[in-house]
Amino acid sequence: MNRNGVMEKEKKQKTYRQYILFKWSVLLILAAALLAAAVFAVHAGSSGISVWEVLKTLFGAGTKQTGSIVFGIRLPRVVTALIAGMALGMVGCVMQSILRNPLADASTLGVSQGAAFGATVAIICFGAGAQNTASAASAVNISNPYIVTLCAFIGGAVSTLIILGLSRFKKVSPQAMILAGVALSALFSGGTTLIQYFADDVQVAAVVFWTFGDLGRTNWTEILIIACVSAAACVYFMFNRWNYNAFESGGQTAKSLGVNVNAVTYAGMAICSLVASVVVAFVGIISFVGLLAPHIMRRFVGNDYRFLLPASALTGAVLLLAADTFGRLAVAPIILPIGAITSFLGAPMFLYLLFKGVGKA
Amino acid sequence: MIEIKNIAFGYRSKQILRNISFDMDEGHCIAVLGVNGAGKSTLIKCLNRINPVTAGAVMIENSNILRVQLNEAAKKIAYVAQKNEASRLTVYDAVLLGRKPYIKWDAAKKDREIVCRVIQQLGLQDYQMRFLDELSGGELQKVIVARALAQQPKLLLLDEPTSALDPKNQYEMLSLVQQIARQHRIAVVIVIHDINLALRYCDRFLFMKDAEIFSYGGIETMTAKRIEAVYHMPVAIEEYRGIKVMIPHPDQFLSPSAAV
Ligand SMILES: Nc1ncnc2c1ncn2[C@@H]1O[C@H](COP(=O)(O)OP(=O)(O)OP(=O)(O)O)[C@@H](O)[C@H]1O
Ligand SMILES: [Mg+2]
Repeated sequence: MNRNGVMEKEKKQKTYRQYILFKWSVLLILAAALLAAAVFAVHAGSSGISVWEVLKTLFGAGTKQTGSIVFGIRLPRVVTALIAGMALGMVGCVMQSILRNPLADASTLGVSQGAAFGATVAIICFGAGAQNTASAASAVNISNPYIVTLCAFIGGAVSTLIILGLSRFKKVSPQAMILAGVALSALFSGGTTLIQYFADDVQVAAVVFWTFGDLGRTNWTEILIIACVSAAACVYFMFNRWNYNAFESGGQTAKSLGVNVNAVTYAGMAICSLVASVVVAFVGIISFVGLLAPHIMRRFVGNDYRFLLPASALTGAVLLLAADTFGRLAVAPIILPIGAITSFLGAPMFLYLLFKGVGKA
Repeated sequence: MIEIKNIAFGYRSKQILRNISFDMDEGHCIAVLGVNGAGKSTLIKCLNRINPVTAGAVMIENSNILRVQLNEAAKKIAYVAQKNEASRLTVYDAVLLGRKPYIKWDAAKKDREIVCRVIQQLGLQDYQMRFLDELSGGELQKVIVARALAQQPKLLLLDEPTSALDPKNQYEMLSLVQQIARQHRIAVVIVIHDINLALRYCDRFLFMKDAEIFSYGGIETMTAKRIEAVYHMPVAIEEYRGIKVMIPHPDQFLSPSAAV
């Protein structure tokens, strides 16, 4: 009997190991897909550098010409897509957990629009954007990324506070929360448009991209800012992954499991809005990535945030990179706005979730 | 000994609990009884800090659990709610959540062993890799109890843990809880409506009425008179081979009209 028990136990352990292994392999496959997509994205374009040359250049063995294309043009764009995608995927995932709302995302809750409004104010009213660039097309060189970030964060935080207030004190349904997000989006988009109305042409060109998003405008300083904020947030989120798992069984039970529900909620939302705002400040509004990524990964890893968080981040990056590469190649040399493409992917998903019934998602 | 001292609590409009004080011995199961809306769930949530009490203390091992950090409290008290949400977590992960107060960065080998043991004790092996939202109500309830047991608390609070279980599982669950309580010296507070189950498996009986304790004591306090006073329903308490059973409306058996 004893031996039977031991064997039984071994069987159990093994199934659990298999199951963890499955989740790890999902992460690994995602990482591999991301890497492949990144190399392809660096390679794809009008200059005709082969994949092999790309790899050589990345490892420091390329020619001067390929170097300038890869490091000067392609890589910043691809890295921006990677980091912004990860950040958005992660933020969507955490927001959905904290707000207990499968429809939550920085763009559906109006956080992105608030941040875009803040950034617009910074550029036009506080003159944080460059004025004297030669052509309007390249005018969006943000001369003071810190002021832009700060203002974007303030804008995003206003939306976040209102959403949090609704969720904590009014206990609104997930759908009502999204309605509030719609109202906030309309408010901030209206504000952005009004400001643009009174700005001169160069400034308008400088802010117009926030409406659609653009991954091609970031310089390395800005990429570094996004990367640092996202990395710090990622560490914080991963430290809280058990808390998010506990949230799955409801606020009261989470508290009985030792989770300081208020602290986790407020800190989590503050960090989410910071990350989303920083992303918006430098690449504009990219809708629905944060909604799509966690939902795709839930099918594979369930609501286990130990795996759902990194998986959402990776998926967000893959999605954004794929969408951007598609946008660059589809009708080259015209580059389609990234926000429009992600909306085309995300809006049907959003509708699908509504059809399916939010509570059951 | 675990002491509950002078707990008081009210929602905005009305006082639900007044001056609730009682002691529990380790290893005992305490049945909390009373009509719907008597404040049983509220009491349990107060012991557990989900409801912030206006006065009172819960003393476990000489420290007031209402004053320590939440995480430390969660190592001492586990809670099974009356209603539970089924999320898209596997049974295993849900039970592993019971180890949450002990986990720093990741689950240790010891945590996983405890989870495996609890899963076995409650007979959840067959569906341990299934998602909670694909379980039946009774299966879910067992998982939630398993999670609470994995917490290895000193005080276990169960709010109607058998409400969704079939008769066999009800008895198995309670006898298991009783056995674990005795073995690990845990005090268990069980809110339960099935008085026969309570009579069979509980050591102390606490009646709540009008925001106060109506009576508290061993099985000798479970008289027909008391039960009638709480539930406003005629009952008889009979003994069957040394086990007390409650029979509601006993006179119906005697009156000829009921036999039709
Ligand atoms: N959140 C709340 N706000 C206001 N009143 C509440 C709240 N929750 C419960 N009550 C009231 O408090 C009283 C006690 O409720 P409680 O849930 O403790 O009852 P109970 O004894 O567990 O009943 P049951 O046997 O039906 O589970 C009830 O009258 C209920 O209406
Ligand atoms: Mg109750």
